[in-house]
Amino acid sequence: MAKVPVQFTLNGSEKAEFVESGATLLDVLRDKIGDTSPKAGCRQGTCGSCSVIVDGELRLSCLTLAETCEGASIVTTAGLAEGGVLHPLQRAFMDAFATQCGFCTPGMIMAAKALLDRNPDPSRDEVVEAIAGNICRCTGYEPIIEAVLSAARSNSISAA
Amino acid sequence: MKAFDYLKPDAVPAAVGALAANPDAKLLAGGMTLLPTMKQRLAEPAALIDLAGIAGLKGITLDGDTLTIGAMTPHAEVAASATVAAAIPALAALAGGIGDPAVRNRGTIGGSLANCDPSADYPAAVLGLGATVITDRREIAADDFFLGLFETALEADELITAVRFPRPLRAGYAKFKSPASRYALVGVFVAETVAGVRVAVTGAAASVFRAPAFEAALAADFTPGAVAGLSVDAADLNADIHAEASYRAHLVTVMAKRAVAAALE
Amino acid sequence: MAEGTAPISPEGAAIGRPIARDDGVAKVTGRARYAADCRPPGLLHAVIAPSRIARGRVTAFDLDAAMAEPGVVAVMTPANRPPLAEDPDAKTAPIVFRLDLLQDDRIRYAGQPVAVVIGETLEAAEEGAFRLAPAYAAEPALVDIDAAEPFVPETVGLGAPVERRRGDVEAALATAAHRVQRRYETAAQVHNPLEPHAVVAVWEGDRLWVDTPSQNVARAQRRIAGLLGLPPDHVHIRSPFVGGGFGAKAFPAGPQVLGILAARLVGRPVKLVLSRAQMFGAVGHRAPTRQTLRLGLADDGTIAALAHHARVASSRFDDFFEPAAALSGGVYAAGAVETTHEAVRLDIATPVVMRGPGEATGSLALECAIDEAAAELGLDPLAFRRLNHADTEPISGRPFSSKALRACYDAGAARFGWAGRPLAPRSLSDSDGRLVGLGIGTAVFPSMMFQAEARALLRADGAAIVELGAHEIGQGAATALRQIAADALGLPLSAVTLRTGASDLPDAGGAAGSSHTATAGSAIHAAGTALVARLAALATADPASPLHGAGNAVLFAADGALHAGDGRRDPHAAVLARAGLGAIEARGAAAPDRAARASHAMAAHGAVFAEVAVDPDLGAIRVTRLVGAFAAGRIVNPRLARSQLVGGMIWGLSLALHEAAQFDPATGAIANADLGAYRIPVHADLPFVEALLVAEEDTLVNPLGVKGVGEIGITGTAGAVANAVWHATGVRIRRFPIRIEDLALAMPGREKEDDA
Repeated sequence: MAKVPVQFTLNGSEKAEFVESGATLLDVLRDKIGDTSPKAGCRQGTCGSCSVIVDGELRLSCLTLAETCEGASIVTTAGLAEGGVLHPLQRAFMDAFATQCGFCTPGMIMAAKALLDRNPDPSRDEVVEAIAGNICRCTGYEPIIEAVLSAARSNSISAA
Repeated sequence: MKAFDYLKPDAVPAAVGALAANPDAKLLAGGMTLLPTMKQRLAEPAALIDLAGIAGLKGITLDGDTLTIGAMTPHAEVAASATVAAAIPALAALAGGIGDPAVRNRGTIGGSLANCDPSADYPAAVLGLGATVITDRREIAADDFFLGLFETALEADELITAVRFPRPLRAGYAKFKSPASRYALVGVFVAETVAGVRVAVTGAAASVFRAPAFEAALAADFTPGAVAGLSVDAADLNADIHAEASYRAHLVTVMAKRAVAAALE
Repeated sequence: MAEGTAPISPEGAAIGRPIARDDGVAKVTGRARYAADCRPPGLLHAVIAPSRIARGRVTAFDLDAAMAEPGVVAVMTPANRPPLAEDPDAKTAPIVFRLDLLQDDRIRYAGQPVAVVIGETLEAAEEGAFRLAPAYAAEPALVDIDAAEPFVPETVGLGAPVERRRGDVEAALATAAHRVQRRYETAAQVHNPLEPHAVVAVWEGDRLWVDTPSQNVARAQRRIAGLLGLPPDHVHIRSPFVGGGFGAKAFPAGPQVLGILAARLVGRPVKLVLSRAQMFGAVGHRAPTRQTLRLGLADDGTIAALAHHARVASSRFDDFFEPAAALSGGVYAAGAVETTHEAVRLDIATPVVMRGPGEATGSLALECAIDEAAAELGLDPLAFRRLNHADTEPISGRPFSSKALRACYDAGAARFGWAGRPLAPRSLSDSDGRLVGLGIGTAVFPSMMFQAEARALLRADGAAIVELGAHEIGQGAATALRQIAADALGLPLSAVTLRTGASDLPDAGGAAGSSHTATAGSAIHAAGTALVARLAALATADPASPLHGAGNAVLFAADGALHAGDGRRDPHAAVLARAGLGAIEARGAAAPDRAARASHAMAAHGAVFAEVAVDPDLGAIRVTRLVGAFAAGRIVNPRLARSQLVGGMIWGLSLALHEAAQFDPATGAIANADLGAYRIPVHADLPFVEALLVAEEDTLVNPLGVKGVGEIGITGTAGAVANAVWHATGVRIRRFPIRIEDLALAMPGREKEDDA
């Protein structure tokens, strides 16, 4: 199978991998690098569980070819906590009981981070729209919205 | 997915050349439709030609009353563009309502038009505004571009480079999303231009289409009430698990009213 | 918001507190390890090739093409599948479902696994599975519940009676002043937990390590060991985190066993993860129902007769019959009551328990019928429900162990603002011109309990480890059970570690039937009580203890110490230190109290209030408010309980308005087998949902007084939403989920408003 070299930055660390032609970023992150924080909920771009941030932009890693990520800077939920200190969004998700089974949580946090990075003070409707592509089967979303708004209020996002 | 060659040309002629040289190749724009299709083995291209490396395919410019959007401009950029919002606010609103944030970050206007999905939003704007599709070799009027289900006037090795929209006097777009799935059941784009009124309907049939009776009524009286009593023939519309044809016909009328109301806001 | 929880255990320092989830950090950092996250060395990837037909036989595979695909290691078909010790179609235990494990070439439903392809990468295995291109000899398939011939099954659900009666319903109907007869339809639904079923199987000789999500690791261990002919303790199942189950992971499914067999075949670790489309296949679903309610009503508004008959669908080859009518024996007082079922067999996968199995669909039909009866009498639907409050369980005459339903009506109605609701439908609208309606439903869910064991170990440093094979499936069990453990041991929460989610631990029963806290918690309570008794025996026998000579009976454990009523205390660690013990251990077991359950009906209750706004042009329905008030005995953690109740209420809303798996009559396959077309609500579809907890004390249901909150939220809610839609529009849609086109096309200018 044809393999191509790809280099990118994952949560600040340089990564270089040989990937199969057609491999998705999701599979490279999970199977080759071992960052299993992005989840494979559908592999079709319909659930949002695999969301990551590529060059500052929210992406579905299951619909992103790894080859297209050459030179990119990639952030996953696994990279948010710094020095053991949780990111304000992570703290807020815990405090608001915004996670139940937890499978959607890493993708949800990525969608929320992508929002807050460009809009630190979003309205409730903007939060709803930001997570519109992320399905949660447990919580009914309300605690998630609360968590994102609360993280925005905590006003310490810039530390991330 | 079946293994394929991945090419990333840096200029339009190279992309077109690669496409011409390899009939089994496909152009990769945002990939929001192509990649799921490939995963389901509904498409098995021998090569993917990634357009992301071509400078000049992306961007928004306004020249007088002509708005030009590069083929590789993602929906999110159109939605957030002050230029688009000033020139054709209905177009910005349409782009902002496509899919979800991740899809809007990757999906492009060129990809949407080339794919010609029956429920896509952009075809309604392109047809409703009487836009012009610019390719590597020619210009195609909207009325000549959309031929049928996933079928356009593009030749096999032809590449969309930009879309040129004339600025309308006023325009509005209204669509109805299926609950939960957010699948666009019916969208109606209404525009009043110097050349007349145009009404384009997406989601209802195999391909986007114009509604002449609605156009005539609005030309005489550009108000929601003018189309309230009109309807399209349900026999020509889609029936599927999302909605029956009669309901889609009903939606065309309601969405047309709402699009006119939006245009008048 | 009502914070009321029953203060049964005044010494309890942990129970009743809204502490944060113990698994929170693991989940928000992405470190929580789900089965598919496991990557043992040498791992291969397996992919199922599903049947494209619903009935017939596989006649050929293109094995050469599949094996020719680079990276494909093996193809497992009926021809080379490793042998099993048991026929997967054998009913080896009372509650065992037949599995499709490549035992032959026959196809009994679309999506049935017909082969497994194993590859070095997922991509290679997927491509190999595609190249395998099975050829079929198809036979006509029947997937329409209305077209099949019905029969009366022996039992429904997991061994419940197919028919129950009290009084003479036909006689009471014949003489009733008013009669209401209505038929309701509910659609097939699919669990769709966000985490697809996954298995990572590693063989070491005749020992097997399996990482797979499970709602019942002990049951999975027994089933897998039986199929493979292994001693159960050679099968090690690990399921520390489950990304949602909702019943789909209550029983080991065929694909999980196929992953294990694939690993056996190739002699290497194998991971098999279902695709989303395959989640609509071999791992169960909620059966569709057709339900008829007949009510006889007296002039004074009391119910003289209530008959609930349900037709449900099962597969052709196995028995699971959704007990849709059963709950109607326990909700409203009636002079005579009966619940009956019939079933049909279709060329579909066997349905299985899905959140509120029977209760969800049955409650929807019952609550609509009750609403229609109230309308028939011109009564307020809440007043009608209060009037027909069941003081004893109608079908049996047994008293309830506790029932705070009236308080739920009061609390919910007050919070929601029910008073002043106009009786007539189509009376309200909002500033956007939308039609507004208010609806109510009564929620009820039986309080089940099963057998469980737990082990508690107290160490010399005063910290404890409590172990049992319990299941954190998102409901918060890991947290709630640790709260119970802390109180049982008299330790601060910080001193208690809970180990769960593995079959090597004592059998804690399944996370199903809203019973897990009651069942596993009672076992923990018993283990803790036993350990404290051992500790107390050590202390009172020790002359150096401040408690020397005190009677065991008056001692209690709290704050890490044993206490006598007179203020004397002896820390746990001190007792062990003086005894020279590094640790002491105790085991506890719990089981339902058969006598109490024979003499009493046991159920949680609630009242759900819904407000909807309907676009009069489109028929589009927006639920704008949902308020539920629930009494479920003692609440271990109010935040977790509310999360469960709210989640359940969303499922109820979705049952009424969104989710339907649509079988294509031409192919027998589910036509909308993806998350784009199968309508799982996103936030834009949902209102603010509020769940109130109403205090309730129950000394009979189990030692903890816990009733369970996992499923009751669906019941009541679906009916409340449907009733609100009627109140908004005057149109009664009886086919669920309500299709907006049914509503839209029925609404405008209809003379006869009640004829949808």
